[in-house]
Amino acid sequence: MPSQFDNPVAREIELLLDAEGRNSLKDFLISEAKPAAFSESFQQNRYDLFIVQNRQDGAHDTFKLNLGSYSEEELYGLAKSPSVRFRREAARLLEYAKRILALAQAEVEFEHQATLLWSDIGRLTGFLGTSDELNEVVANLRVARAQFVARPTPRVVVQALADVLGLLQQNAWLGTTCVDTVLDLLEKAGVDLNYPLQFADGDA
Amino acid sequence: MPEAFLDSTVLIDLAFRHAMVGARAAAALSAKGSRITSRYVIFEIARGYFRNLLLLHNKSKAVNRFSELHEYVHSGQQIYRRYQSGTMLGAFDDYFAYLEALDGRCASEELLAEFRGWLSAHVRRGWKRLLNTADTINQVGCRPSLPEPTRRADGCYEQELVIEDCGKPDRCGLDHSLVRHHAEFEHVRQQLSKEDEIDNETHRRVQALGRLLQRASGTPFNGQDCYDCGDAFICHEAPKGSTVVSKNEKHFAPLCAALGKQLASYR
Repeated sequence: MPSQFDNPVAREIELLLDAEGRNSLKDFLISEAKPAAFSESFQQNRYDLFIVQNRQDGAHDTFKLNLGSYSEEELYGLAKSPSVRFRREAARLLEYAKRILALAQAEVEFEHQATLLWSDIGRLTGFLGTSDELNEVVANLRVARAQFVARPTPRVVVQALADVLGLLQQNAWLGTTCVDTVLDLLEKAGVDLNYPLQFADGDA
Repeated sequence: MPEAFLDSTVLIDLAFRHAMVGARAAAALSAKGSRITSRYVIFEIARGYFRNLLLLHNKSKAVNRFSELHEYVHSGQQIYRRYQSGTMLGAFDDYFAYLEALDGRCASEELLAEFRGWLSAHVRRGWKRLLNTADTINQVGCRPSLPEPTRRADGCYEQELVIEDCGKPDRCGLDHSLVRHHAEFEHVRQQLSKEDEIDNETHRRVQALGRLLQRASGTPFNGQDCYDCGDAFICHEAPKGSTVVSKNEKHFAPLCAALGKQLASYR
């Protein structure tokens, strides 16, 4: 039976890992590690199991069971689901929006970064078809994106995007109420959610 | 205080159309005072315009591709007004082409999901906006309660309109309204009959008004007659001193003239 050192593939992997500088294997491992590291830094509530003793005299006592501790995502059964990926993407875009908000509106950099943010929002199409609620959010974020292609993005709209992305990354369960809050924020910032209908009137 | 009485064309512009159309409507209303409309107008929108949106949304849940939705709308098999949904789908064709140039091509399944997502929010939020755009009166006594659309477990919307109650004197207030205002409606019918050029819509209105006024009070009538007379009832409902606002100047002008109401219109 060949030993580890007789296996050419294993030997090649060792060489790649030992090599100085970056190579394709290291790049692959770094790209795989990033989401995991991001997930670790993702602040979320944890849930533990308790048992409640109901005494005959009406008093209660609570005992923690050391059977496990669960994240929100595990409890919703959403681990590795598109919803979780969407929350991570929302968190990433939120950081982006915050960086833009730290810039002055008059700076070219503000518009440059806003353009890149819109471009990322435009590519959220990978989440379409995941759920009715995500369809609504993605469709309307793209409606917003379409309106600021040919004109500068006002600061108030970037702020609304930051607020929206903050809501989206916080909510493991995206219900209609949350979606409506998101859409209200966009509308209050001046986004016309019925913008696609302009294409029927030739106003777009 | 002056009031602007909004008909269905204006309410639709304010609740369901894009910002530029809404701004044109708002500009037309700006000097007319507070906004009012009626339950009759809202019910007319619910069973005429809004019903098409619900059907289009629910049909979008039944097909697998955006192109299939096009096929359905243009198949000639559907029973609702083709031009409305066709216009909306046409707008989205151009809108999606615009996005495709920016963000790359999407599969037809993704386009369908995106359209469905947009329409779902449009329906839900548009209905709420419809109810909140103006204060509502109900001189006709039409539908004391009108349920909002609800989403079923399968994602489809439903809204119980109970259209079969239309024309039942114990369920519908129009019968009482016709008795109270018989002379005014008869005057409207006569004035419309004297028009030089009577189009199909006015002809249907004159005929339907005649049938409604000739029948004995308390007897059932055909709900379609009520629908055909809609603009006349809406115009009549406008309170004294208010300005009727409508985009349908062609049909509202003779009605307002017959009833002594002021009309404002815009394009």
